[in-house]
Amino acid sequence: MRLGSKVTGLILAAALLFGARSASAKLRVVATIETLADLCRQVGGDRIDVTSLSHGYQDPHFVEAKPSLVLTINRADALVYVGLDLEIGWLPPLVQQSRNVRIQRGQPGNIDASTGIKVEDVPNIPADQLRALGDIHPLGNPHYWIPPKNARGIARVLAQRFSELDVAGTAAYQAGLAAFEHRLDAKEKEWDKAATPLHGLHVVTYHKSWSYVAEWLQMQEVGYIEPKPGIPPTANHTAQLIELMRKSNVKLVIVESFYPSSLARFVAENGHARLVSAPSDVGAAPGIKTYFELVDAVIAAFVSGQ
Amino acid sequence: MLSFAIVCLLAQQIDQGALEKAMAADAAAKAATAPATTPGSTPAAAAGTPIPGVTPAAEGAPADATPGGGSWAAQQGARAPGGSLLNPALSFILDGSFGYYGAHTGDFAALGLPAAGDDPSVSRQGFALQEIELAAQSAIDPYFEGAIFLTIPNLEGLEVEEAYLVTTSLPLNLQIKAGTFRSQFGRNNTQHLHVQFFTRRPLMTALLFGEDGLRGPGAQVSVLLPLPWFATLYVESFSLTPPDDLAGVATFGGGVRLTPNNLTYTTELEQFFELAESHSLLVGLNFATGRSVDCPTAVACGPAPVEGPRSYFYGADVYYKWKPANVAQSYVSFQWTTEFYERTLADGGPTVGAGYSEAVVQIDRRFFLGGRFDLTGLPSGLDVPRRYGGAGSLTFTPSEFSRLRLYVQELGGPSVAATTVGFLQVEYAMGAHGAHPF
Repeated sequence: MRLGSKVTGLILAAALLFGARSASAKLRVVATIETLADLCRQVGGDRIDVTSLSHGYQDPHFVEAKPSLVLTINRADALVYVGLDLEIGWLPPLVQQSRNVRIQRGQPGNIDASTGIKVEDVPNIPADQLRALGDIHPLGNPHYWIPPKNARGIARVLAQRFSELDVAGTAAYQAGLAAFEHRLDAKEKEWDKAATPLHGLHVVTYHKSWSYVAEWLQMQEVGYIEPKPGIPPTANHTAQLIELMRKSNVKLVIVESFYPSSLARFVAENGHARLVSAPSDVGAAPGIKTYFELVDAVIAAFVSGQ
Repeated sequence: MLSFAIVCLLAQQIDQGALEKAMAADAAAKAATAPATTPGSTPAAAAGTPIPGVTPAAEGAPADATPGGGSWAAQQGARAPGGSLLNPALSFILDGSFGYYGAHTGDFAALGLPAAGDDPSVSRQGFALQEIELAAQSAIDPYFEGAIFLTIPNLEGLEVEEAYLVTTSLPLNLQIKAGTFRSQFGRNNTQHLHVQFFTRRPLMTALLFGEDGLRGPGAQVSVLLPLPWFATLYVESFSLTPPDDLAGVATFGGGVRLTPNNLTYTTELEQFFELAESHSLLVGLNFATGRSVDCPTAVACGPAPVEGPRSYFYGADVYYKWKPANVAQSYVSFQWTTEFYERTLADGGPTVGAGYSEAVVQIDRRFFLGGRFDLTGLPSGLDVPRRYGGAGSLTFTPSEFSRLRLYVQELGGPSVAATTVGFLQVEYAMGAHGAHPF
């Protein structure tokens, strides 16, 4: 019995040593994409250390679940993810293998950024018919992080959750959030003004990943190069799309910079539109290091293309 | 093992983050009631107090209804629209095939190579349902995740391929898995059929690992080692039963399943090296020991369990992958796997070995070209004859949830006639199936 108590005590002590974060240490945050990592930095400032699991030049659906990422997650106090099943193909096994109780589902360190936004495109059809629509996200469209109102919602979630994890830093997170929102308010006016020429513009995108942006900038999505989400383009669909583009006076074909642009260029040329290869995440190009630079680059690409 | 698990479970009740949070909240509450506050501090520092401008979602509000509901409690209250509240993630995976084992009856049998349990049945050539898998995966509670994989191989009875729970919150980077499951021994052995790029498993599987692979009821303790690179050490124990076919030597399954001396023990060290952003290397070192079933040479087999000689099973697996971070630009990638194992029976018993090497090239977004070379009987011995196999596969994936595969394999060896096996395989998945590890 005494030996058992000693063993229990030793394990408890070791657990405290290995699992604890000292009061003075920074909050260790892991984000699944670089834009979320930057929003964490904007809110958390010097009180947090942030690592992104993916790069902005990668397709966030298909990040390689490398065991080295397990190590990164293992040491995290918080995991911030896009949610809505965007990372379902690679994040769950990493989280399970991480052996990190702090970031498991149901724990305060498990932060679903989508809880800060109004989710669009939630399919309203029977579950057994969903896959007939392609690799559709049953919980809604997860490509939501670019419009300012969504970035604001995400930042508020982050400030709230960081405060719950690091109570002593609440004032700092409040200040970080306030500074971010202040700058965002100013930039939003600037972006709205710059994007005025885009209002009412008919566009075609490669994947259904620009819907939130199109709504914000009052552009109208006419079609998609993918016949269905995640399904490669076919000749028939491409021909129909080009015909539709000509009838609908489509001005822009938007494709994320990580997709091959050859087919998109063909569609744009034959549909009498211009091709825009746009960044969709911080880090998509060397000069895009923050959320603000990302949105600047997106607006500039669209405006120069129209 | 059990007492260790209980101690660990007790230990995990103390969550250091929660402890710090409670202490900080207590301190903040005291500060708030004090006559003077420290400059810069705020009563809102209490845990759970909303930040100005943040409107937490109502408890139970759907995620798409109230943006800005940022608290942890609000996230717990949010639920997926239309989601089944307490159902586990369910999926069915079907592998159907059409093909043959040799142009003439007996060609394949003459090779003396048993088929793995989820290979297309040798006795049912032509159209076959190679395997149907039903998977259920779910969080059980805050401490465990669970999974059950039922299979019907070749329409011959329902089997439990795996059914286990895994801890999620043990301290010291520990994890415990218990139930019936595939051993972490090797790489191919850990994989279900639908993860593979070939229709048949490597020849070594049925010869050394057993018809259904090295799997069974048991427990596993693993630890993520505190090293700069990913390294995980696994220790497992299994109660294995003798194979259905007692004609040959089975590496494990001898003796009484209850006796510690007769249990099968394994240990594996898995290490990952990120050579560059696009280049990954996974290396496994594996060792196992237990009682073999050695009817022909050691002891007479009867209806009662018998204790065969101690068997030692060891080897290594290497997995290399080249995949550009932005694979969507070109959709070209490459992966290479090689495994080799030997089995030694105690008291000067024979040592036999077998292995394979395979490469898979992604040549387009939806096309994968694979090649595999099998070698068994190095050294050769009883029940592990020297045989060669060369296989090629072409996989077409219309989407992530369906595959078509053309598979051809040439088999031969000293003093036996070569034979060709070929299959056209169709695979599809329905429902929500969990992602697979690297």
